[in-house]
Amino acid sequence: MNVVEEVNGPLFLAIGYGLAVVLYGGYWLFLNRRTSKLRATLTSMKAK
Amino acid sequence: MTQQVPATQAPRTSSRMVAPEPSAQLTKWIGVATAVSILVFIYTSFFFAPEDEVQGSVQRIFYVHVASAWIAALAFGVVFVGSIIYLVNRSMKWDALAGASAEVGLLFTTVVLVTGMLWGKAVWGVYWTWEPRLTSVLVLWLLYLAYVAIRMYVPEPTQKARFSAVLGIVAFLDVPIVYLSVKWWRTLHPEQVIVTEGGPQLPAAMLVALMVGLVAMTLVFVYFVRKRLAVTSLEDQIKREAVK
Repeated sequence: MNVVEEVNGPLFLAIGYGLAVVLYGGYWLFLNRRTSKLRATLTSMKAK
Repeated sequence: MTQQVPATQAPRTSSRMVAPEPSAQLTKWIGVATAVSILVFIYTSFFFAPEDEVQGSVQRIFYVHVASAWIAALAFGVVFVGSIIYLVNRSMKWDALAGASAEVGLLFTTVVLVTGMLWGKAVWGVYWTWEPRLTSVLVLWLLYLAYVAIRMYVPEPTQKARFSAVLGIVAFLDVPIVYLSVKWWRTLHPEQVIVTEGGPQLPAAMLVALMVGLVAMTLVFVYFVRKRLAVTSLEDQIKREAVK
């Protein structure tokens, strides 16, 4: 009997790639937001 | 009395203390190339590569799992080299590179652990087992988590750079242990199928999908490191502005 069928392979595949997208995408969002925030802070500091 | 710093030395000292910001334009183009390569990677891993006869569709986790693992090793190699160079010349740009690469490498290792656990559950019946490959990867993850924690919580920049450089060199010792664990010990984890004496032990289409994955993950790594370096540089510039 195929072991993979017991745990629903396509579902595990989807969760695996989904979590990879969440982790990589989440880090990308974090870097973009942090960059925007820091750039705004630096611009306001230089303007003073 | 304040000591006068010769004009010829001042810029050099200054540039060594602040991480330079990478070109935003180049980073943007690398980002475009990364997005395209990810789309090609998704196509090759889901539609181009054939389904594994034994494991079925879940075997496709292999492409993101192995590609992420290889790039995590590359990232920690960059930390290792950057840390050594920092300890030799004390230039903050190497410290910044090592710090950025460690953070991105930790992210890649997290993906390796998560995808590996899901694949393990599907083919072994368990999410986790304390076998050498899995345990050595978990140790690697913990070592670089400690590295990132040092960089977050040590306030003094040169002390932070020194501590993390030492840990960056020591932690890298676990990378060859991870790689060779499947040869040294009897493990549940499969042995290498790419780097073998008789060449890659994979069907050509699967090998193509993996290589595309490696290119895509390398671009993701370069893109993230450049973005992280930009964040470090902006943080340094803000600190300098604050003391003006």
